[in-house]
Amino acid sequence: MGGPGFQALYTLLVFGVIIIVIGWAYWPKNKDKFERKGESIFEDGEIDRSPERKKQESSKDE
Amino acid sequence: MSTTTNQPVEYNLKVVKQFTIMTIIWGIIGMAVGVLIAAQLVWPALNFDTPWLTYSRLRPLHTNAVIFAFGTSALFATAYYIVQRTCQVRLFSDKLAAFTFWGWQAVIVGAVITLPMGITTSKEYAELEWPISILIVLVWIAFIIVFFGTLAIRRTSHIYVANWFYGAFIIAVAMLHIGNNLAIPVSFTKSYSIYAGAVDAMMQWWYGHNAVGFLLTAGFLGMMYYFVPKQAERPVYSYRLSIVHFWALITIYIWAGPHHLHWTALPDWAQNVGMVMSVILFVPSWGGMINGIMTLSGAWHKLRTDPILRFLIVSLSFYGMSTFEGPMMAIKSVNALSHYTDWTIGHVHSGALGWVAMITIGAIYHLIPILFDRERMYSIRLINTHFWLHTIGVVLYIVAMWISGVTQGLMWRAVNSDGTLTYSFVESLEASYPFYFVRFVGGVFVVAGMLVMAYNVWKTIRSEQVRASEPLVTQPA
Repeated sequence: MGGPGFQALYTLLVFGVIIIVIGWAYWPKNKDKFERKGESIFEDGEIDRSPERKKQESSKDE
Repeated sequence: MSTTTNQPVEYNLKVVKQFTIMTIIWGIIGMAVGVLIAAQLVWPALNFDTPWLTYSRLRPLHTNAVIFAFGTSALFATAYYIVQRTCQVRLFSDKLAAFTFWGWQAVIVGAVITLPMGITTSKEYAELEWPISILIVLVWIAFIIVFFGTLAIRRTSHIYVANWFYGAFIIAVAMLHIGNNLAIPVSFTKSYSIYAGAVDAMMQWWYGHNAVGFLLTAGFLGMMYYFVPKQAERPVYSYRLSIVHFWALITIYIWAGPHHLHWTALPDWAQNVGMVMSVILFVPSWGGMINGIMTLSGAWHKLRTDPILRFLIVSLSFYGMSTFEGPMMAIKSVNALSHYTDWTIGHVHSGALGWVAMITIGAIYHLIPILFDRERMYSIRLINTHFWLHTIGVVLYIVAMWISGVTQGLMWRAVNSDGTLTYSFVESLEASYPFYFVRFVGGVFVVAGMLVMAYNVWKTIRSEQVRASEPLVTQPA
């Protein structure tokens, strides 16, 4: 198989992988699971969200 | 809950601090060298007739310093920080992590010494000669062990999406570096690539473009998927879109390299594959950009008062702009105009200064108070000053290069009715000259911003006191 033929097959493989991933990611039953994963970065020990650490915002628009 | 235990974790923040500080230092050095060579294009006498100060030797020093010293140090710092925090476990090996820090600094110092001496493989972005190249491999293997080892011993049930991007970046860079740097040494300071002709060119740009795709894009997307939600204090807009973004990006990017070789001796079908894959890349890239920006959905007001968030969100805007411009420039007919002109330089800096530097700067401002146990940065106003210096600098730079590049492309292709060229090369150079000065001014703005950042970071680290004119919100004014 030459370069063009290989590329054609590879392109089909890539598109196939992407379509499968879209189906998996947007499968309605997976919605809650992925939403929990998205929120998981706020469950990490809270060292940067302690009340002592003030918000890094100025007091007025700049 | 995804966690399996609530026991406190003793994170290894030492190596994160080391890489973070060196990111700032190397950023200033790398960008300052960029300003110097920009100045040399306006005032050529600035090379002082000294070989190691000439543009040809300092330009690779600039690119290596900003990509591998500044950018990659930032990736080491944030990868080590994020993998620990999201896996809720200490790094797999403290000693190997320390080795990656000192090893990587040795690589950079090696580059700083050898490149001005003219010791180079002559491969763009892969100039470092074989002894340094081997050291890079050793450091990278240690990085792989530390990062993936930490994932393996994680205390969470899943791997957060930022780690997927970091993982892809680490694996791809190992593959690219080893593949492109295979060479036969003829002395301690000289080697020759095992590839020849068009194959050598293809390998070089397979490496070159994927250095952009996996180091300067995937790695920094990992940074984005952690720090944007953290700073915005809300989860990423669509975790599901981030999964599609990841798989689409890594499966397509690896084939985009041939667009650097349009209208060359590379087989036409390979050029066309590179063009098509590059154009398709627009879709996942914008999916990721929209995902990042929409994370602020319902909280846009934060942009008015939080300059760190502004850095992060504006970086995504530049990411969107660059990933629209890149696919367009990969179309062969557009490339016929843009290639070899300053348009390419403008495009690269839109990505490098707009996307990579701004997301890094935002992440560093978020990290410094956490790493050094401070309530916040010394001065929020100085962050704001930095934001405007940087933004103005980037806009001056890229607009100047766009105008210069399109002018060059149009002048080079103009022909008279008898088929002779309308303009000489020197005439196109004269037309570019004013824009080289604007580019220099833009660079000065960017470096000035980095110096403001260094001062702010220095004051934050040295003392818990904040700037007297900016008391903490909870303190009486």
